[in-house]
Amino acid sequence: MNSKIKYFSLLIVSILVGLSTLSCEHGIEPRVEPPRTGFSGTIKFINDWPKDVYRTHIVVFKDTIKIPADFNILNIGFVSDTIPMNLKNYNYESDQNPAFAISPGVFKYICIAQSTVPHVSLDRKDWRVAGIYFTPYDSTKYGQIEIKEGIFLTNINITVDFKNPPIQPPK
Amino acid sequence: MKIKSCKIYFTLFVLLLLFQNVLAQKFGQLTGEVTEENGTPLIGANVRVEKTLLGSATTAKGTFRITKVPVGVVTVRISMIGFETKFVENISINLNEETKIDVQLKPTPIETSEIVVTAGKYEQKISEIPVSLNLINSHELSRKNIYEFDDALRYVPGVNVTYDQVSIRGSNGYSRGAGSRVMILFDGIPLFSGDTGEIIFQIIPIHEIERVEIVKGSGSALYGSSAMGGVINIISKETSGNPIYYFKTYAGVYDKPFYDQWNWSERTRMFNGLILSHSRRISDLGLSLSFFRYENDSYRQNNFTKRYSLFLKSKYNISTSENLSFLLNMISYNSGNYVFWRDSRNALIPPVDDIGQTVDAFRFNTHLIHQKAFADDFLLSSKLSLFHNDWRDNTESFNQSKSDMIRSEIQANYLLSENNTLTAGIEANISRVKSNIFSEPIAYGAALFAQDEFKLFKDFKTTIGGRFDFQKVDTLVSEYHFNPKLGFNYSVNEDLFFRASVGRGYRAPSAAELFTTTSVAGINVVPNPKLKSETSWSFECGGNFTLANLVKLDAAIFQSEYYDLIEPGFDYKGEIIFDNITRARIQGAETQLSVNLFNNFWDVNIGYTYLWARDLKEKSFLKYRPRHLMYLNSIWKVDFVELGIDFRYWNRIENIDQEFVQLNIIKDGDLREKVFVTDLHLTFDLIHLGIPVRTYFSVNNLFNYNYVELIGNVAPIRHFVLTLEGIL
Repeated sequence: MNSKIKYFSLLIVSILVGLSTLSCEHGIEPRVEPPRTGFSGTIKFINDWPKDVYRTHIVVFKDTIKIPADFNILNIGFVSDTIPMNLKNYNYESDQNPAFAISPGVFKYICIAQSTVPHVSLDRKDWRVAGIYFTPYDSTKYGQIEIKEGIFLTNINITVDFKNPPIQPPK
Repeated sequence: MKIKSCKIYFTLFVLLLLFQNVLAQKFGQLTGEVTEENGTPLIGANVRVEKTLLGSATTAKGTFRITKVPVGVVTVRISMIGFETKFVENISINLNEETKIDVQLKPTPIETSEIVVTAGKYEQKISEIPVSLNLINSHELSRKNIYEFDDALRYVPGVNVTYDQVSIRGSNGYSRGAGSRVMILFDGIPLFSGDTGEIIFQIIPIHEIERVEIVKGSGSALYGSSAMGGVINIISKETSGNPIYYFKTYAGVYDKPFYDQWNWSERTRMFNGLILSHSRRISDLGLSLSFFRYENDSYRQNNFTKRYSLFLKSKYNISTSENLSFLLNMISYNSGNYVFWRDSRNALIPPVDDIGQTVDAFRFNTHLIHQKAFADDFLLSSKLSLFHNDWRDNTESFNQSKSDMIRSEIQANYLLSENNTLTAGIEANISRVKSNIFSEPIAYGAALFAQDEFKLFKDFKTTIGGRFDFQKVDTLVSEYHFNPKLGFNYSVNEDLFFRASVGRGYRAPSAAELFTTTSVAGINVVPNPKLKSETSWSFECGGNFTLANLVKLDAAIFQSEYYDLIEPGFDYKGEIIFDNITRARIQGAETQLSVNLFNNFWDVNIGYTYLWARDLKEKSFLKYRPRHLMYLNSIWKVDFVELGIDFRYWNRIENIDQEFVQLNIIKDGDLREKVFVTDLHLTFDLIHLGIPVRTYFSVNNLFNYNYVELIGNVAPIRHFVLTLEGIL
C-alpha cells in the first residue's frame, strides 16, 4: 500500500511539475504590426455647409448603389470617423480611428455621406450623398479602388460642392 | 383609513405570534461547543435540532446557543463541509434549563454523506440524488482568496466561465450579456435581472456564503426557465445564537504585463476590499449585518471598479416549527466600460472611443421566506422576492435600464413514508422593464411543479416529476411548457452508488434578446419579437465509488439535445438580431478523482471533462465551448499552515464570433490560445493557536500566462493577494 501511495505521490508531483513547465509558454503574444493597409486623401468642401446635417462620414461601398437596399452593412467596406462640421479642407487616413475599418477588396463607390437624422441609421432616406470619388480626370465615372494587404493608396481626393451635389443614388 | 386598518392587522398579527409563543410548548435551552478532534474550535458549523426548524451556526470559539428548544428528548445534527456529519441522539431538554453538549467532528475530505438541498428542493444526502452535484464550501472561497464569485466557478469540474458567463457542461457560449442557460439561486431564490436575464455576479456577497451547490444537467423540471443547463444554489450562512464580530480586509497588486509593449500604466495597479460583519441573536430573532467595500484599479485601462454593498439577514423563530426569514442585499457600483482591446499590441487598453466610458449601477435583492412544519412529515415554505436592477452608461447611446422582478412561491414537502417524499409547489412572477434599449415590456409567468422520490426496491430510489410553466411577455404570444424528469439512484453499498436521469429544459428569451434597440461599434442591434423559447433534452448516468475515506472516484457520461438556441447574428440588412438559430448536440464524459493521503496531510482532486459540442445546422463546433477541461488541485496541510496549488486547463477554443473578426470590429480578435492557469495559495489558520485570526496569501496566474476566455479580452495577469480575517 505504502509503495502505491509513493508511486501515486510521484505521479502527482510529476503532473504538477509538467503542468508548471507548460505554463511557462506565456500564451498569446502581440502580433507584429502589419504594414499599413488602406487609403488616404483630401476632401475639399466648397460653399456653405447645409444646416440640417448631423454627421458626415467617408463611406466606401463594395458595389454602386443601384437600389435603396444596397445601402446596407454587408455592402459597406469602410466608414470613417465623423468629419468635423464647417471645414473647408479635410485630410484623412483610413486607418486613423475609423468607425468601420477597411479590409482588402475592390470597392466601386466612395462617397461623402451626410446623415440628416440625429441617430445612427442605415436607412437610405436618412442619408444624403454630398460628394463622390471619381476616376481621375473623368468626373463621369465613379472611381474604383482596390485595397491590398500592406498597400496604402494615396490621393483618393473628393470634392464636395454643397451647391452642386452629385446625382443621388436611388432612395 | 387604509393605514389605520393596516396597523390594526399588523398589531393583531404580532400579538398572535406572541400569544402563540407564550401558549406553545415548554422550552429549555441547548448550548455547546463544536471542535475538531485536536480541540480547535470549528467556526461556522451548523447545529440543527432534528424535527424542528431550530438551528444555529457556531462562533469563533466554536460555541453555539439554541433557545426555545421543546422540552423532551431531541436529536441534534452537527454538520460542516469537510467534516463528518454527526448526529447526537437522546439529549434531554428540561424546562427552563440549559443543556450543554460538546461535539468533536472528524475531518473527512472524502465524504459522500453531505446534505444538499438543490437537487430535489429538500434535504437529501448527496449519495442519494439522481444527478451530478458539486459543492464549494466557504473555506474554499477563503483559501483561494476569491473576491468575485465567478472566479470560484472556474475551478469546478465540468464548469467553464467565459468572461462573466457561466456554462455547465457546455450549455452556454457567450451571449454578450443577454440571457443564461444556467440558473443561479440565492437561498433557493432565482437571482436574475428582469431586463437582460443575465447573472449579476457582483451582487453575490461572498463573505456570507456557507456553501454552493452546483447541479449539472437540466433543472427545469423543478426550477423552470433558464435552468436548462444546470442550477447553482448559493446557501448563505446561518445566523449565530451567540454574537460574532467578523472583519476581513485584503489588498492585492497586479504584476507588470509579460510584454513591455502591454505596459500602459506608470502606476502600480492595485485592488483592496474591506468587510465588516456582525451576527447575533436577540431573543428569537437572529440577525446578520455586513458591509462591504471593494476597489480595483484593474490591470486594464478603463476597467476600474468601485463597489459598496450592504447585507442584512434576519431569521425569526416564531416557534420550534415555524420561522420567518428576511434578507436584503444591496449593491452600488461604478466601473469602467471595457468591452474589448484596441489590438493585440495594445491588449490591455480599449479602443480610443471607449476610453472614459463608465457604467453606474444600483441593484438589490430582497426576500421573505416563511417556513412551517406541520407535524414531522409536512413542511410548507412560502417565498416572496424582489430583484431591482438599475444601471446606466455614458456611451454614445446613453443606455439605461431599470427593471423589477417579483417572484412568489409556495412549496410543500410531504414525507409520505420513510422512503417516499413528495415535493410540490406553485410559482408566479412578474417583471417590469423601463429602458431606452430594451423598451418597456411587462412579463409575467406562473408554474406548477411536483416531484415524488420513492424507493421502488431496497436501495433503489426513483425520482419522477415535472413542471408546467406559463409565460407571457407583453403583447407577444403566450408560451406553455411542460418539463418532465425521471431519475434513478441505486446504492450498491455505502461506498458505491449509481445514478441516472433524463429531463426536459427550456429557456424563455429575455427582454434584452426580444427588444434590444441600440448600436454597437456602428452596427445596429434590432428587436425580434418573434423569438420563441429554447428547449432541450438532457440525459446523464454516472457512478460514485469511495474507498475507505481515502479515495473517491466519480464518473459520468451525458448528452444534451438543444433546439432553437437563441444566438445573435446578422440579418439581410447587416443588422444584429437575436434569433432561434441553432440546433445543437453536446455529448461528453466527466470524471473526478479525490485522494486523501498521509492522514489528511495531502489532498489531491482531479477533474476532467470531455465535451463534444456540435452545431448540427452549421456542422461546426459550438462557439466558446472547450473540448477538454481539466482541473487539478493539490493541498498540503501541516498544523495551522495550508499550501495549495490549483491548475486549470482548456484547450484552445475552436469556434468564436468570427463576424467580429471578419468585420474588423475586434482587431486580432482571432488571437487565442489554450487556457493554462496556475494559482498558489498559502493559509495560516492561527485559530489553531488560539488567536482568532486567519491570513491568506495567493499568487494567481503564477506563471503570468496570457490567455483570453472571450475574444479581445486578456484574462487577469499575475497578481498577488494578502487577506487578513478576524473573528471574535
